[in-house]
Amino acid sequence: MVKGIKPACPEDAVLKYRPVISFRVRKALGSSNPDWEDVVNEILTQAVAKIQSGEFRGDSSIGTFLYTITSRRIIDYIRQKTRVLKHAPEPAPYPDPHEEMEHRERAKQVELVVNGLKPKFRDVLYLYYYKELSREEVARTLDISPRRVSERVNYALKLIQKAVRK
Amino acid sequence: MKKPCHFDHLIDEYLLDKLKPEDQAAFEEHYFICPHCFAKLDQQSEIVQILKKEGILETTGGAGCEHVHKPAPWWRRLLAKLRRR
Repeated sequence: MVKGIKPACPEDAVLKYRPVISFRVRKALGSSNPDWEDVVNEILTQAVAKIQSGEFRGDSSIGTFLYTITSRRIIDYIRQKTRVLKHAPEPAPYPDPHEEMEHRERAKQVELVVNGLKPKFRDVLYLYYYKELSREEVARTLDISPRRVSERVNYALKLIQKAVRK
Repeated sequence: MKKPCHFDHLIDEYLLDKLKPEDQAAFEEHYFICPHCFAKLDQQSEIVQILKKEGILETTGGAGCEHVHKPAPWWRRLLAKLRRR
């Protein structure tokens, strides 16, 4: 969206950002948190109301405007949660059975690809994603250059993405 | 072929929570306005989660990582040193 332009239909303009807002909220709250969908809906409703009331003047892009609303709502949520549930146990997650099944299926596909990789690629994935070393640390451990680490990670990821592409 | 975005290289580190808070905030603001980065981030997110949590690498990586403990041959060490310069 170009700066200085107010969307003609706020609902449509805002709804296009649902995936990116959902991603950000799930990353911040944890995807097993049952509240994430409610938080996303609140952000969307608040954004539409602000555009309709003229609070969004189009000085920034709509993406930046929605990023600000999303970040503020996440901070509020975390503050509120810390206040209310300081000593209370976290509620159990409610995984969607269909989503859970699809995730299992994709995990199996990833496992197949990983098992078929040459050890030099598996080692890099193991150290980088599982042991969570930095690229430089992986490079030092395997005695290769950081650039070679990136090449191996990217190659392995491409194969995995090809296998799990929806 | 589309030119890669200059935020591309932050995707992995963002998903692994390795970015500094200021870089994290900058990248978060960026992917709200960059469909290319968001598409890549979304696609990579589940894969990284699977690689981190499903124990796939725990079993395969453990076995495949034997040579990590054995020193590399002299010519590979020399090549790596030269490349780093």
